[in-house]
Amino acid sequence: MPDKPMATGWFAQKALPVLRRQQRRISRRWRNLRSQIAPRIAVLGTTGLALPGKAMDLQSPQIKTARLRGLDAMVIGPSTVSEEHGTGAAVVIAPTVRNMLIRAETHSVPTVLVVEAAQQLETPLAAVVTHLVTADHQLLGPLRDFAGAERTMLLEQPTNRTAVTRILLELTSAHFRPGA
Amino acid sequence: MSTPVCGVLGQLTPASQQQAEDMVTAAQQEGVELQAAGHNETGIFYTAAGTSAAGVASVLWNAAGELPAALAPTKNPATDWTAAAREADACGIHQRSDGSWILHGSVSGTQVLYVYEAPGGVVLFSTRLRWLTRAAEQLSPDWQSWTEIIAFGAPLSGRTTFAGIHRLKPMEYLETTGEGRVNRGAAHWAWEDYTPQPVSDLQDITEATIGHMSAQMRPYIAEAGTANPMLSGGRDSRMLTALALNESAETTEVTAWTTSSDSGTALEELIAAQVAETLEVDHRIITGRYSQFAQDFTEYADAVDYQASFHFWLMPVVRRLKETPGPIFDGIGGGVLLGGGFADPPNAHRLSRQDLVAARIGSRARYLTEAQKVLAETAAAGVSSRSSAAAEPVAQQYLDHPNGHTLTSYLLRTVPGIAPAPAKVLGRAQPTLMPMVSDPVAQLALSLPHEVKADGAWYPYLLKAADPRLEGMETADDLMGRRHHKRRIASVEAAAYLGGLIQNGPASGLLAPQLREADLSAPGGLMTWQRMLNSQRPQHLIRGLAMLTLWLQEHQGQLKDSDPVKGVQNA
Repeated sequence: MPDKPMATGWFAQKALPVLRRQQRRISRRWRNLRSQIAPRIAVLGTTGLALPGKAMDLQSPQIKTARLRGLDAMVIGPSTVSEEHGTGAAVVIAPTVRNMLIRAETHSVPTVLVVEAAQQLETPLAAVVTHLVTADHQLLGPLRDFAGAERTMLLEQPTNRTAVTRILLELTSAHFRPGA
Repeated sequence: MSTPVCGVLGQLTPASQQQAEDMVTAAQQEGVELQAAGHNETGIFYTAAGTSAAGVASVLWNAAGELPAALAPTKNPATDWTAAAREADACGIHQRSDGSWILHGSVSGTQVLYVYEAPGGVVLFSTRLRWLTRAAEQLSPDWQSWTEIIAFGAPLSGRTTFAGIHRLKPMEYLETTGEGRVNRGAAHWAWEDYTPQPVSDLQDITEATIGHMSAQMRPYIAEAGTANPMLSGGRDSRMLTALALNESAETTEVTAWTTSSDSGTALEELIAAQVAETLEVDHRIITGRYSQFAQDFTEYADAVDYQASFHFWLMPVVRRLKETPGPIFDGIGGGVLLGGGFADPPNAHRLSRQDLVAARIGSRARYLTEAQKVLAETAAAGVSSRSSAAAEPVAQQYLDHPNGHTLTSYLLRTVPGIAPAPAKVLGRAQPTLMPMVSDPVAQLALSLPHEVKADGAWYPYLLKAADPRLEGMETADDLMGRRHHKRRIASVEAAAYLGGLIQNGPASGLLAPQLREADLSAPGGLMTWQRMLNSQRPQHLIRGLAMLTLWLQEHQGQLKDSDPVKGVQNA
């Protein structure tokens, strides 16, 4: 069980949370403004969506150093979901994708999985991304059961780049969507 | 698997024997079959196995199950129970040759055993609190314990949510006298004797520590032929995973299990996956569905008998572990004993004694800094003052101890609040071992100077000794950016459940006006709850209130006084 020590000084208890909140508020406003003008979306694998970003080549040596900081979202295609472990016993996240996700987490980049089949919800990748989208009306219910209404969205027009971008920004830019 | 045990000590009467049968019936209603395992005129007890083949009325158990004779540290635990409790970290009940009984807790205090001093001089005991309450006619709430659950996450000093029902603390015991009277006492706690000593060879100590953990795991892995280490993004769990692999034969199926602790990041799961790949171990990530939040929360509350409010997120992985035979290894106690995270800061010597006590208590009840956002004014003041007052004797007791902060943290948080998760929740799924709170490991760790362990300084040695491939690997904490994941507990689904539960229950009068009056059917009202649940400290306080509400629902009609507002404010 995690049982971690906590700093108890005045700065850690009082000042740091306030400073962090302010920092988050400023960066959110800045990101929202910038995203409206020039959205930055990275793509892993084949998504079947019309997106402004170009798909990253997971086989490329440059993938390890690709700049992720400041991305609005990293969209992950269903084809990259997982691979069989060496023993064949378990489905695991492909190491290249996992390492990209670790970097995305470190830079607080939202990660959006495109779901095409309900079985994808049983994979480890679905458990670690921040958001899930689907173009299939029938999958929206299972998606919401799995990840909640605020983390999931239906892509009504998956081939319309403007509509897809708008949905992705709407989904990932607000932490609370109580009307969802 | 954690052994179910219950019974009665004292001069048995038809009424007390009926109470014992009531407990057995309550267990049966939960699908647990118990058989009489020992009986005379001053005591009776039941276990799943019943009377042993040798006909000896004695049993030692912990969350890994009943100890087979081969693993029992002493041949005669009735006369040498302190050795059994210490060396096997086991609870036990034993009939002595003169017919008297001894019932005892474990050295770490992480094993859970409740005792109820019932009217009439008899003492009922059980590993499950609910069975005790089913045998009691009427019970009084211990409102003081609820101030502690809200503030610390669990009742302190062996209290429970019922007056007269007590959880055995480290090395605490009950024994019957010849006349059938029951005395409660505590044997010396050896961990108080373990103090920092100069280190001549840290490598030797490191290897001995690893050796002790491995030795505990070995027989369980060998017997099951499988192993289920819990693997997070931290150091303790990867150490145990590596040791489980070291102790496994080629044919042993080792599966490392990871879940989300709902902390607002997926780094724990991702780093765990990276570790699993490095160690070449089968790995599963099991997280909770949002539509199952209420089910997970209520099942966790039930599993820990409403006595802790921390680990509701464990339930999805526990369901899977129930279907996966093999011992579970949990790293409880690693941070506090091996990680050196709970030593006083270097400037502690400049603090006054009272400030040092307050600092040690405050670090465990830090959630109260946000109390006014969640609790009504009088409730916040009551919870704050009464919970701190309850913690003070523990902090005072170890104020001048060289491991003072470590022992204070251990007794205020690890034992009451964290231990129910491995002991009661994981232990219900499969046999669960907690190697880091075993006596030899605690002895070695507590005997190291603070500077050797401070800020995790000992971990590189331990990890390298466990498996050189772990050397230098980052942890989730090392990489943590902003916690930008939606916490499940702060979702609309969870906020609607928890908000509705508390607002519509008897504890609503304890809520701050903004939460009490928030309209959950409107997005704005729901968001008020979501914002509170998204922040660790208010969330902790809300979990405590939700636990209180569920407990009142469970025991309604059996409680003498069920007004939590009056109770908590005037505890």
